[in-house]
This record gives sequence, structure tokens and C-alpha cells, in this order.
Amino acid sequence: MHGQKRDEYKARLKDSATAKKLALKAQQWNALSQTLLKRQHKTQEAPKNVQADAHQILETLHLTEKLLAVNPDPVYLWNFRRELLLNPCLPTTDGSFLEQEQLLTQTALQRNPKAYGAWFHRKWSIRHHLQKSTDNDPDSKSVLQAELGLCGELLMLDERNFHCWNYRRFIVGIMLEKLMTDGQSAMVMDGEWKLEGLLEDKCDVIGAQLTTKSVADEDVALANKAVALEVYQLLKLEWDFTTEKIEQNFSNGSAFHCRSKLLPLLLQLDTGSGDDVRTEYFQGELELIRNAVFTEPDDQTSWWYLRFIISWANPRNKDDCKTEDMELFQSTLYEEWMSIHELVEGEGGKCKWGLLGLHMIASEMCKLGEKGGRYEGENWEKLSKSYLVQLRDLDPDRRSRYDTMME
Amino acid sequence: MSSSIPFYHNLHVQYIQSLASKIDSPTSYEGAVTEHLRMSGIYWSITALSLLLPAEQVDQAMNLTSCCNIENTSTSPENKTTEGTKNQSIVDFVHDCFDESTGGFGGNKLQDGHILYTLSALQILAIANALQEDRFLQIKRKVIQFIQSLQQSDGSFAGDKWGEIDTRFSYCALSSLSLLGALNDDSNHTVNVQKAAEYIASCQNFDGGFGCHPGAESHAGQIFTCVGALSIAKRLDLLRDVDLLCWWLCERQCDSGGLNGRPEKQADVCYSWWILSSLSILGRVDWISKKKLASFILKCQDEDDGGIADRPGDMVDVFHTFFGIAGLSLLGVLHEEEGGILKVLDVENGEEGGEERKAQYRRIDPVYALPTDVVRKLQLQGQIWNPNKDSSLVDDRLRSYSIYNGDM
Repeated sequence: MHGQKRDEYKARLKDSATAKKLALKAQQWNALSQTLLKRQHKTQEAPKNVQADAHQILETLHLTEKLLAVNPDPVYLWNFRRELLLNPCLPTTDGSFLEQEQLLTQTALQRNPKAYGAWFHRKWSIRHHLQKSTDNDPDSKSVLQAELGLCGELLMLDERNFHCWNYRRFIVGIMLEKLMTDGQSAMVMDGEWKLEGLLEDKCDVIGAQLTTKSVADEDVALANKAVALEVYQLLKLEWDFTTEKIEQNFSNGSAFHCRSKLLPLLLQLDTGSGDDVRTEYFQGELELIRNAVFTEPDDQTSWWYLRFIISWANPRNKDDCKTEDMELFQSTLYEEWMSIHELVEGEGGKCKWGLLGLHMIASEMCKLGEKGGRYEGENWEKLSKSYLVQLRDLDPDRRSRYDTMME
Repeated sequence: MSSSIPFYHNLHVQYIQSLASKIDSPTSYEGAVTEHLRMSGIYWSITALSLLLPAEQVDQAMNLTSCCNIENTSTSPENKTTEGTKNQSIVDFVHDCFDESTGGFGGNKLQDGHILYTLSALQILAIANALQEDRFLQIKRKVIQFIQSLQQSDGSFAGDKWGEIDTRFSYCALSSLSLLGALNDDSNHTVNVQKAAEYIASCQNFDGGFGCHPGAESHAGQIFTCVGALSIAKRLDLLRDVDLLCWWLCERQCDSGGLNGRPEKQADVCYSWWILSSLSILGRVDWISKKKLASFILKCQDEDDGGIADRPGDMVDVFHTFFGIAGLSLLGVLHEEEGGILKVLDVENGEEGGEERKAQYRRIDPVYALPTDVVRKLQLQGQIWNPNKDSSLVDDRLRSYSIYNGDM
């Protein structure tokens, strides 16, 4: 009854027509699932019998479809469906397997866009279909592209649906795998972004979303310049997708999260010359954040991303940290500080996230300061403390944290 | 802030006790669509009731270990379905859900074994003190093998043989093995706990949080499973920037006092558990306003029929009832001796909670989501983060765990 108003719900239950309807639905469900369980021949004592009757298999398959379309949550139903689909006695109908499963999962997801079982089944179905088709099948490309399109549509309905974002990354993982292996070897298609050999520095990448039998590493990575460009282009498209989502709504934490994973990858794959590219991205991200926080200062989404960007851009994290890099970083931070300072002033000082941002920069300045903690004449330690005092008053619920920080 | 909302103890007890007969009815729509997770539903109701009544009363009221009291007269033999719990105890039901072909427990009878329901089953058996029964000892090895079979080469866990990967399953696996005393069983090729922990650590994101798999967005529920799993594995040292994580968690508190699961989402009572337990393990419960959270949870109660909902004014369900009560327990609201913030009021008697009422409240453990006495009895292992360096500040219910101070 998650998210349903109590008074309405209780009134519905009291309404005899509704009560009768629900009771009937319950009985129908119970009858169907009983039938199904009997067909599974599953008992405590004996293992399942493999059904050899093609007609019966189709009938049972149809039964699972009826149940799952109504309630896509039971994993055991999806399991049973998969067993039937893998049954060698199932009559083969070329080409319609994927469509059938796509249609069912789509119906299921319209019912419950967060049903784990439906999303997993779709991943399984895509992989199953692609494993059966040949490596250079042009159909694969359009299938994968269509899946990205579906994600786009579903994210228009709920831009924070993490199942959908995960699925999108799953599809991109398969696309990357195709590029990396040049379609020459068996792909595992577990959704993991396998970019070893292409990246010099280790990055967090997307992990596997389903299990696969492990494939020897030699089969997987074929890093070469041509592939690097295609990989870059694919990831750049994803980057642009996150930009689009953020521009539609700055409050899209899911898009910012995705961006945080893409940024380090793009930096390594972007063929612009080293330091300028890093600075470009840094400035670009700061501008994106600035637009967001000036539009809606109290929305915390982009403030979390700001904290990440500042940490990411810190030259101290690089191996070859030059003095010029530190100076540029420090001056950029200072500009950012002035910008946020302006924002907070504009809010009459009552801007919690702005103050947190100011404190973050002030703390960083303290760490960076070689001139006894001063830069452009500001006493960063003093500023840092004053921000905490203001935050303590403005955000009393989290007073204890500010007290800890003051120690 | 209104501090006068009572905790409707008796109503919640009645609500929980009446669930079984409602849900098991063949005309219950709710029962039908939740049939697949009955095992978890039973765990939520048993554990919630365990926080409100002494163990013996829970046993009697819920037919936990025996089925002599079949209270509800609306049942009849014809009503017995594959998932009915009538005419059998809950422990009987749990055993009926054992899936011989996999070694796991299904969500209901004749359903495939899955790690989620395996944990729920073991949690129920732990509360019922049934893990040493012969009939369980006979299948114990199979259950351990089922869990072992789910671990992947990267340390992650699948939910079942079909291969969905999710950090929830890592938590379920480690917690289950811990309950079985099989976490560190070198002689029997148990799971690789270190690899499991390293995999979980690889799921940490830019904001300090954790998602379902590496690269997935931070979410309070997943954070609990990851922090809980690292606690059981005693590898909290693998957490990067704990202060950032705790900050992110405490910023889940909204103006209403409730907690949300991600930035700019709505507050929901269940996050009272996922976040509070994580903050308990990490020693930062004081970074939220306990008073306002308690007030929010109390506002989510149904003052007519009992139970707790996801947010004020919504319809209650057993899931949110459990997490709401568990949250109040972790806050210390149900336990006056912890300097509880709000008095426990007995609405029916119109008086403040007496000594007997206070003494009845068992506490909940934040790592295992079980009553603390059950955790202690089984001597379950775990680890907590103590940022204060002063061990006297560690919450009483966490004292049996090893303490990590953050020093390398």
C-alpha cells in the first residue's frame, strides 16, 4: 500500500463492488498460479520433470505471461518462464522470441516500472537473443539502439528510475564489448564496461549486472587507436544524454551520478592535449553547476556534484603535479568562491548549501595555502569557522555534525 | 513540534496479529500479489512483534514454534492453499519452503530458492531458536552450499542460479552465513569473505554512497546492505571517506523530519531503518535530529487500526510497520532507560507506559535487523566504526562487536 492514501484505500475496501472485484481477482490469481505450480511438477521429494509436449509448453508459457502481466514481481514466475523458453522441445519461431519477451517485459514495466524481475528478464532476453545471432548481424546494432530509445522514453516518465539507468548502462556495456572485441569472439554480455587496455589510469567503471561464465581475458580486450575513438564517441553520446537530462531538470541526481562515472573515462579518451582538456572539463562542469545552483540554490543535487568536481580536479591527485597546475586550481577555486559568495549574499545569507559550498572551498584553501593560509588576502581558517557557525544556526537538525567539524 | 503523539502499542500488536488470517484468505487480493514474498512478510511481522512483546508471547500469538492456538475462526480446511500457514507453525512453514533442488528457501511453498528468502527464513528460525533442531541440521549443509554457489569470481553474489547481481544479495549471503556460523569455516570451502568485501567496496560512488553494483547510483537501501555486509565481514576499513558517507546519509533528513532515500526524493518511513542502522554502525546517529525523526514515524501510524505507513496519511502495510518500529527502537524511543525522547503512551489505558511495558521492549540490532538478544545468543560477529575514540560512548547494543577507529 506504498503511496496510497489511507482514507481512499479503506473506503475502497468497504465498497462491496470493489471488494467483490478484488476477491475475484485474488481467486483468479490463486487458481492460475496453482495450475502453474502443478505443471512445474516440483515437489519436495522429486526434481522437476522436463516436459516433452510442445503444446503443453506453449500453453504453460502463455500462463506465465498472463500472471506476469498482472504481477511482474514474483521472481519464481520469471524463472519458470525462462526454463520453458530454454526447453529444447519448445517449437522455434525465428525472430519472434525477442519481440515476445520485449513486449511482455514492457507490459510488466508499465505496470510496475521498478520490478526487478522484469528488468532482469529483459537483460537476459537481450543477451539470449544476441548470443544466438551471428557476430556481424546488423540486427544487433539496431536492437541495442532501440533499447537505448526505450530507456530514453522511460526516463521521460521517471527520470530517477535507477533500474532504467542501470539498464541503459547494461546496453552501453554490450555496445562497448562489441567495439572492444570487434565482434570477433564470444561476448559475455553481462553489462560490465570492459575497458582494460584502453585506459592508462584505473577508473571506476560499471560492473556486471548478471553472471556469465568467465571468458578468457585474451579474448576480450583489443585496445587500439581506432577502437579508442569509437569508444570515446559512444561514451560522449552518453555524456550528452546526461547533459540533456540535467538541462531538462537540474534536480536529476541520477544524471549527475552517471556523469561522475563518465568524466574520468572521457578525460582519458579525449584526444585533445592533456592539461587543456582537463581544464576544459573542469570549467565546463563548474558552469553547469553554477547554472543549476543559481536557478535553485536549495536543491542539493548539484552541490554534491560540486564537491566531487573540486576533489576530482585537484592537481594533488595527479602524479605529475606542477606548480602552474596548483596555481590555476587555486585561482579557479577562488573564482568559484566569489560566485557562491554572491549567491549566498543574494539569499540574505540564508543559503545552507551555499554556505556548505563556501566552507568546502575555504577548507581546501586552508590545505592549499602556502602563505600561512592566506590567498587574495582572505583568512580562510577564520572564514571556514564562521561558515560553520552560520550553518549551526541555519540548519539546527544537523548541529551535531557542524560541532564535530569545528573540533 | 507536536510531542504528544503516542505510540499505539496495542493497536500495532493487534494489527500484526491479525495479518495472517487476512493475508492467507483465498479472497485476499493483497495476499495474492504478495504471496511470492510471504517469507519476508513473516520475518517483518515476527520481528516487529518481537520488539513489542516478550518472546513467549510472540511465540504464542503467532504460532511461531507450535500451532496450538488457531485463533481466527474465519479459516476452514477448504481455505488451505499452498501458502497457507493454518494448521502448521511458522517454523513448519519455513521448512515447507525449503527448495530441495537448490538448497535455498523460496518466498513461499513450491517456489524457487532465492538468497533473499533464504535470509528471511534463517532470520525467522533464529528468532524461533530453531537453528539447532534436527530437521534444520539435516539441511544445513545444503543451505551453505546454495549460498556458496552464488558467489562470483569478482566476489559478488547472484540471487539465484539465473544470475541477477546486486549488493543486496551480498548482504543476504554474508548475514545468512553468519547466522549459520559458516562465515569463517576454512575447512569447508566457504565463500571468500575478503573478495566479497572488496567487491562491495568497489561499489562506492562520488557521494560516498553505494548502489546495486559498481557504477549504480547511491541509494539508502543499498547503502545499508553494503555497510552491513562490510560490518559482518569486519572490513569497514575498506570504506573511503566515511565522513562524506555519513554526511550524505544525514542530509536525507527532510523538513518533515522523515528521511528520504536519495536527494530530492520524498521521505519514507522505511529509510528510518536503512539510514539509522547505517549511521549506528558508523557511529553518527547524532548527525540527524532524532526528535524530528521519531515524530515523523509516529505521525505515520494509523491511530484507528494500527500499523505504520510510508508517510503520514497513507495506507499501512507490514513492511513499513516493521521498519517504523525498528527505527523507533534504534532511536531509543521505545526504551526509556536510554533517555528516550518521547514517553510511551498506552492509548487504551490512557496512562503513560509503566515499568512492565518498558521492560518488555526488546531492542533491535542494526547489523542483523534481529532482536539483540538473538544476536548475542548466536554470538554473531560484526564491526562498528567508532569515530569518538572513547569506547564508553559506544551504544550499549553494539558492545559485543569489534570496534574500528579509522586508524590504519
